[in-house]
Amino acid sequence: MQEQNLEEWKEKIDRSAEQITVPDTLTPGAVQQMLEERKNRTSAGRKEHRHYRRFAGIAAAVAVLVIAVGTYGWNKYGTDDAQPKKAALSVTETVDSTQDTEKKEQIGAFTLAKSYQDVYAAVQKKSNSQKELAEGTVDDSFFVEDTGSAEAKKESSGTHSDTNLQVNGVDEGDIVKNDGNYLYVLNDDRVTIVDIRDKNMRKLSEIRPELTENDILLQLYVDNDRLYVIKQGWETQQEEIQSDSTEADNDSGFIRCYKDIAYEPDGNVSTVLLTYDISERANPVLSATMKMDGAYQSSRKVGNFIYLFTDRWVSRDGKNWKAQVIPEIAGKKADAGCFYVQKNGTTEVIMASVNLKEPSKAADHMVLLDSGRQVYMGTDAIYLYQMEYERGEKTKIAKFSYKNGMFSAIAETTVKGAIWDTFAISESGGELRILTTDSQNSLSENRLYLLDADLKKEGLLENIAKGEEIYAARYLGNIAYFITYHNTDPLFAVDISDPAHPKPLGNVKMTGYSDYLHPFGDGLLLGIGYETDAKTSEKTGVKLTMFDISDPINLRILDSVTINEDFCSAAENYKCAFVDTGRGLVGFATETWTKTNYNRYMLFQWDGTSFVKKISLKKTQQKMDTWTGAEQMRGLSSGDCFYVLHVERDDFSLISYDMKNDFQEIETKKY
Amino acid sequence: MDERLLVKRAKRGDTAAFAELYGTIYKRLYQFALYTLGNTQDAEDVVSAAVMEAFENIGKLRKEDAFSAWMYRIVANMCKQKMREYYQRGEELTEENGGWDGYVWGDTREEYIEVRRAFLTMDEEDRMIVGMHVFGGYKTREIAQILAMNENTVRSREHRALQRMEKQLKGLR
Repeated sequence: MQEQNLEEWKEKIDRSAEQITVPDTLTPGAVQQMLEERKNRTSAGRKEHRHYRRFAGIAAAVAVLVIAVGTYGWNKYGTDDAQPKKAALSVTETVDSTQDTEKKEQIGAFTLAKSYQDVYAAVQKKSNSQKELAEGTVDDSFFVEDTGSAEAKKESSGTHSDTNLQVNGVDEGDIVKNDGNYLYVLNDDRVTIVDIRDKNMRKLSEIRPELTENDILLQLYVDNDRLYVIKQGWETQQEEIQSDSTEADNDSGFIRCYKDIAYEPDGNVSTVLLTYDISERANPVLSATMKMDGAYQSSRKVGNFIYLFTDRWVSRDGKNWKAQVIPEIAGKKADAGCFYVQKNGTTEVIMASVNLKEPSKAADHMVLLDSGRQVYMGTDAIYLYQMEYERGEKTKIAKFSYKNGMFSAIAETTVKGAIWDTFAISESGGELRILTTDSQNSLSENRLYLLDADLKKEGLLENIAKGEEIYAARYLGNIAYFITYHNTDPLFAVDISDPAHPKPLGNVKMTGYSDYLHPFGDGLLLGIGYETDAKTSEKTGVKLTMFDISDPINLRILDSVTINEDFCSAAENYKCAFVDTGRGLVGFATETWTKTNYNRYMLFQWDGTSFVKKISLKKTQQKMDTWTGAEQMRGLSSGDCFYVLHVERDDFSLISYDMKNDFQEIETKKY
Repeated sequence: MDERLLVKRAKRGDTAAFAELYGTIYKRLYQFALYTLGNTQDAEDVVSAAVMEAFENIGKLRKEDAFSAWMYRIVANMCKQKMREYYQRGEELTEENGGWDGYVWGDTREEYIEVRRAFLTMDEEDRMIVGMHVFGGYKTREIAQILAMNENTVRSREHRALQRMEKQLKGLR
């Protein structure tokens, strides 16, 4: 069938619905009234509930005590003399954090589980799975990209480019990897190895992992003769949803029948690390598989370890909920002593480390029973953070060390405000720096926190750019640089050399804003973002700005260029940015949304005073259904060649340019 | 007003802000539910329940410009549950048993009734995929995200579903 016909049918369906009237109960006005009524009812109901809850709380505490005592009599810890008897119920701060082998019993609100019983007890009692959708929805699909910090990364002016990373030395997976000799491209259900050792690109081989209908390939890593592919699997099962809504809080009649909806798609989501031996690039061989429960959240590679982060929702729904609460990692149930639990846990964040010498096993694992977290991984520690909106905007942060692939909980803390930018959280020398925006009041507030190795507050700077919000951040040396925006874009510099006394240095204003900041060599900071209309705040184009930060007290704008496009990949996803400070290059893809959408790959060269356009490659949408946007484009380099990759649905294209010959196009290949 | 700002307000319990957000999508959202379920009463119940859920949980919506996709996901999941109920009761909605009331939706010209009839012969997931495309205006990639499905699967299923639909309608003529 022609694409055109396809469109025609969609239009017909649309037309057939045109005259349908929406029931009066669903108009925005009626809905608002309904919500108002419900709000009033629940706030009245909450007061009544409170007594009930308090009572229930005492009852629950008694129950826990009984269980705890009972368990202690029987389980192995009960007979283990070395095990302190106080454990489960007392909330003690373990002072000693130097011993890596001993796990902390408590970090923040989390308690280390002593047995699976502790885990079961902590799983949210009520079937609150609805809420999880809400959260889960956002979690797994709208937040594939995570976290970040900010050190100046290893630049690629030498031989070949790497994925643009958050933290130098902490590798991240992407849809393409480049080792200077070969490109490894992930395209839907296959990975293609392309030889780029000479000027003519040559496809060497193609890997097609075994996939079921619901499996999906997500990211790649390459380390010498090994290629790692991350796959997400999804085993569907038609299980009846158990209803146990006996609680008498169905204060609105019609919602009752939906109370026990499992928002999670039926079935088990798992994440798989596939290892391929690519010592013969023309003949890759699958050499190991490691599977763990949970939907893929993020991963990192540091030295000889790959760290995987997944999450999944847990609840007391269904007959087998207890079995389902304990995740499997590399064929084994997670150890009870690896759980940090918190009451009313709804989501498990599962961390596993894989020693690449034994890629079919997990070297260590840890499970956090909580409500979902984002990942920031520095060179020394993993930080899992999560925004909370109840009683004010807050961010909870838990810190774990991961030395030699072994996880150890260190501390947990809460700061005011939310982390808006991936690069607003950053570790350096054991200290953590965080920029937050708190937008609960009509005038939003920004704060800079400086926390010590135990996440204790060392310093705090408040009252930064009231009414504006933090859009981008970078910590360079002893200075925090960040962009705030309301209708103009000031770049701020704050001296953080004395963590107890952060000191504002200078700022510079301009129109529009930067979403991404990248250090650009000596005294320069590059901003990638958008130009906006000063009156309406509407985006009017993609904007590049070069800041002179050589004197942080007198910040200056050296040049800026606005491109008439609608969307910039690098502003949304730092992995889409190509930066080569040695050659003074910055590349990214844009989208323009008209009747026929098109992407454009743009490469600019900074000549010391201004941006000079070197490549402007327009790619017009041919077939709607196989088209992919700017986020599926990457710029790469090896030697004197620059490559533009566009991964579409059925195929991908590579276009090479000669950097020595003023970026003349060499050839185009489609695979 | 800016969507992110409205979401922020809704997070603080502002029903007017929520209604404004909802107001921009509710017609399409209802059509989506109706074409997925095939029954006006059930579609009304589902959208209404989805509104409650969304308002209660909007505090957890982290990506504040994803309100619409999030609403579609909630409605889609509630539709799935509703259809599971149909199966559990052993009754699939049909024209004959009166569960499918497609004759009374808006324009009752035969041409459109036929389109609706053909639409409702699709598999339930196909109805959601095509429905999200037509009513939600989403791209394949976004539909895959909303329904937690493989993007490729979404594309090929939609293609196949529409092909089938075309064949069916041409057969009718």
